Amino acid sequence: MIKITNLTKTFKLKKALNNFNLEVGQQEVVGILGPNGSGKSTLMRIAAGLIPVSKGSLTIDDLQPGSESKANVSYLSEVNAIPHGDTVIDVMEFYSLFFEDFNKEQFLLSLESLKLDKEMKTKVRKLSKGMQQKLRLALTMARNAKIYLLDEPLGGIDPLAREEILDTLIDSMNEDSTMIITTHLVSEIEHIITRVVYINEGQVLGDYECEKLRMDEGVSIEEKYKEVFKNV
Amino acid sequence: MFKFTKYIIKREYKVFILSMLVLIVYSGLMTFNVLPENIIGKGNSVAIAVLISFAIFIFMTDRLNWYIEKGMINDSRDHFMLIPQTPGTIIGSVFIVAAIEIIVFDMVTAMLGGFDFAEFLMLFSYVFCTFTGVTMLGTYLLLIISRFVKRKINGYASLVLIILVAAPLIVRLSVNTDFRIPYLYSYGIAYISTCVFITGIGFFGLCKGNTFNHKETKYRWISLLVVVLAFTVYGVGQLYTYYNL
Repeated sequence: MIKITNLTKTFKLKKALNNFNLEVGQQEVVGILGPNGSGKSTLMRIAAGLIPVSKGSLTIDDLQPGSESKANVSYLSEVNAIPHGDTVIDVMEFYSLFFEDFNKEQFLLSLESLKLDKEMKTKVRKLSKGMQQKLRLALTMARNAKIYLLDEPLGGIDPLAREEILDTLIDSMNEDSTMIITTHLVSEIEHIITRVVYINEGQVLGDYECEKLRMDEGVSIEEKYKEVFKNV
Repeated sequence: MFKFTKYIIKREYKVFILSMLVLIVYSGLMTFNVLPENIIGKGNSVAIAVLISFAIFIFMTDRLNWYIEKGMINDSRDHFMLIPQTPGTIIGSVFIVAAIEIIVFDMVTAMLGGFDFAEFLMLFSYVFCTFTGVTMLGTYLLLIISRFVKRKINGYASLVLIILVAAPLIVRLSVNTDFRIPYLYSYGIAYISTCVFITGIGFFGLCKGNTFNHKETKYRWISLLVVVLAFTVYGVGQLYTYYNL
């Protein structure tokens, strides 16, 4: 489904991704974990078709990231890019107009469960940071996309709201879809992901099936994270 | 393209109607000589009319320019980069909406000013070419500056830059334009060919600057073709004017 081969992304002299290789299949929920500046967001932005690769390739169902692949990829960016002045209804209409797979009913249900249903006429920028993040997640997950790319979905969210967000994530996950999540909050996503990839300085340091990690090595994802990054 | 055009129209129609009302009221007052010849100090009503048209033009250009992806890091235009449309489609939609707005504005101006059809066409060509030139070159300059200062540029800076690009063009237009004299038509070709050239340079820069950052490599050839074509139009336009004046 997603095939990354010798992917290199250079920003002037700095290599954000360096000969990065990864294959992600259907129905997998992959957590990409790593410290700040390890290349997680760059990888997501390339997969979402926002920035070009410098070398190597990344394909989504044999398509290069671009306008065609965007129809199948639902991306939650790290930063809130919703235009100033747009209300919740405006953003819903925007998604409804441009994404054929957007499910309005599911979106409204998600808003209800996230206690955002009374804010439909409120300008997005006037919502709290946590509420904005919940809204953006509800929009992303309301698409029946083949692939979901969630870049730091729990960033800047308090612990109670994190639980609500994770519940929404689990409830709205399509069984046939693939999901890639990047985060610093390792323990929080432990029960969602099926596979974990540790990255640093744009390279893969470790790639494990979560179940095998727990059964064979008897360690949690967080413990493995500490072990992998101990000497880095 | 239709979807994005519809989207822009839905977002912009209220501002458009408001700007239109300002133009109609002022042009109406001008036409029926309600305003005295000297309104403010030494400035006369014609100068103020030019100023108002200029302000409306800049305002509309800035609003429409907002939809064009700038390829800047963490910019609000990322919102439009998520949708399955090519940047070419989005720019195409912006130009369609601009053309519609300019046609309506110019029709009103032509009606109130008593222009004939040829003058109306000339006016439309002037304004539309100025819009495309300012939008494309302004966007390219924004891209260069944002890369240079390594941060996104806010809306006000964008507006200032549009004014800076538009001002010389508008001044040249307002100083030399008298729609009643025959030589305008050959002078107009020089002006329009300059705008085409500026548009070509802007388009070329945006292609090179990765605003069209998808793996659609055809843009490389299109951008080269556009710049060669723009340069040819510019050269022919200038030569034509030179030999006909």
